[in-house]
Amino acid sequence: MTETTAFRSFSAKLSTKLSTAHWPLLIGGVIFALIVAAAILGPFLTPYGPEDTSLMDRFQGPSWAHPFGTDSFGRDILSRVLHGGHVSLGIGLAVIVISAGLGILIGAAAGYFPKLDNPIMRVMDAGEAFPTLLMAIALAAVLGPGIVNVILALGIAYAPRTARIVRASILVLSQQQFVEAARASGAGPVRIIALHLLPNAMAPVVVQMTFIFADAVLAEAALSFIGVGPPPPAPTWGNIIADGRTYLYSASWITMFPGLAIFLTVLSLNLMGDGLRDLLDPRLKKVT
Amino acid sequence: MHRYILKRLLSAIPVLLLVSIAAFVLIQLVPGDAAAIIAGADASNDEVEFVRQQLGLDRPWPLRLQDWLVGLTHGDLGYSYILNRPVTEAIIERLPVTLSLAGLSIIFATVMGVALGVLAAVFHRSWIDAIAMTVALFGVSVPNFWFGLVAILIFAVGLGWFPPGGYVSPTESFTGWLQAMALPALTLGTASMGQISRFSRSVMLEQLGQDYVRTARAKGLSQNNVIGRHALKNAMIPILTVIGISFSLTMAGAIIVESVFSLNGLGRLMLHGIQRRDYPVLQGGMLFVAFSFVLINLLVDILYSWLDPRVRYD
Repeated sequence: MTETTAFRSFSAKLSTKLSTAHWPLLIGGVIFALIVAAAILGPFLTPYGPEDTSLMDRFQGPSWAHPFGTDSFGRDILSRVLHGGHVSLGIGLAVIVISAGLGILIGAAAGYFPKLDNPIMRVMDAGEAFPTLLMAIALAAVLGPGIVNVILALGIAYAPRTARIVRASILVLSQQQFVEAARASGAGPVRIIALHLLPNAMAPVVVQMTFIFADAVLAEAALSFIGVGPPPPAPTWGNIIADGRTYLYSASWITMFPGLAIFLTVLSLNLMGDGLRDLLDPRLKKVT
Repeated sequence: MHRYILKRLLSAIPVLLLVSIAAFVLIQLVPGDAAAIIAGADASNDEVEFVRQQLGLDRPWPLRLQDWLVGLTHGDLGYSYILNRPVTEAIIERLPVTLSLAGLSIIFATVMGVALGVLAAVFHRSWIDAIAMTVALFGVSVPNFWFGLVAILIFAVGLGWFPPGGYVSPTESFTGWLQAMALPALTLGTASMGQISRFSRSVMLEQLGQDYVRTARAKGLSQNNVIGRHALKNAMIPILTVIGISFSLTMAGAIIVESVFSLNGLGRLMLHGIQRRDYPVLQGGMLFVAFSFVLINLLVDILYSWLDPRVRYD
């Protein structure tokens, strides 16, 4: 085999691999990385602050000076969308950390200790009887508006989903011989769960975290839109759309661009989730 | 069959009880003086004291929990001092709007979702598959309130095909009702449509790879027969579960979509409840939605056992 044919067969293999299993992960990853970079660097690159008003420049359509136009206070929409990305992605990240932390704790307890299983899972059933978004709306309404409360509300609301997945994995794994071996060598429950079970149960959790991130971005935007999210003038994507709604007919750009930002972010996360699922655990393909 | 239904009904009771307690606890989390909040901002001290006594807020919480649970068995969801009427009455009044919206959007999501999923599976790895899954991905990724606003801008303001909002009763004008509900139902159903079609595709793919499908093909059955009468029939069982779950997505989404399209349904009632700090309405609405979700899933389980007798003997 000459070098060229070896290279050809390698590149053919690579391209089929990329085209079948990994392209969603790749495309999603690239879009998401671009959005994260824009949200982190963007605020330093635009000449306008997100809350800088300029009455001279009210309701400007998209132009070179204001690529996304301006709103009723003459605020630059591009700057607001970039800052909004900062807030929305930060909230999404915090939500997956909290929901994964809670979910792993609860799920591991339910899966490993048979006596706790039934009571814990019935409470999870009850929690899941409230639609996630509704649960978050109610918690945010009761706790009051604010970024921390939105994070808490969504983190708690998404925890049962992770808990269920962790429990299912732990139930199966704890019947395996390596766990028996660990137990025989004197390891306590905490050591077995943390060192033997959880590392083997993480693949579906990582996949689920990607989807929860996507859902959290959507939910935070919806909460902001109906006015129980982070209070204005904080620029979150949902807030900007809620502002723009009044001028939907005359200045639709205020609504369009933040909506596109949400859409692209959630789309890229869903693509990454699909790709990760195929990559990490092909058996999970069925679960959406 | 009857025994299975009875067993499932009994197992729903603890969940319903926990849900009721959860709704009660939620309102206890409200910071500050609940009586003052519920009485409204402009209530006098006497009125606040009256509300406190009426609601029994001066009594210890186990007694109040007992009152709440006993009230529930009579269909009593509490009293709203801001609306000045029982919460149950306010919910029932708003119900037709939300039921129209949720019902139509679930029908749309199911028909469209299953069709796209089946097409994608049958024409696996073709351009049909790619288009169907792109539509599904769009559905699960687009924020519904934004999609609704864009739909209003294009189809109501631009083309003038549909009204931009408001509700028309079907008893008043059936076509008017359909026209008024078309955009909201499309907006609300898009996410579930995406979910259902993604799920249907993978279930169908699994079924199409089974031996019985090969047998059906081998004995010369037509493609329609193999897919419709064999594969889809078996695939429908798990798909039903997802449709049941998507009901939850629909009820939560209704709050947002009703607000976008100015529909006076249960969602807007609850949203106003939040804005006016009318906690009895919020509590009652939450409980109503959670109860209907539990009951829908119960119904799905029973349908499931009817479609697949093995479930009954588990």
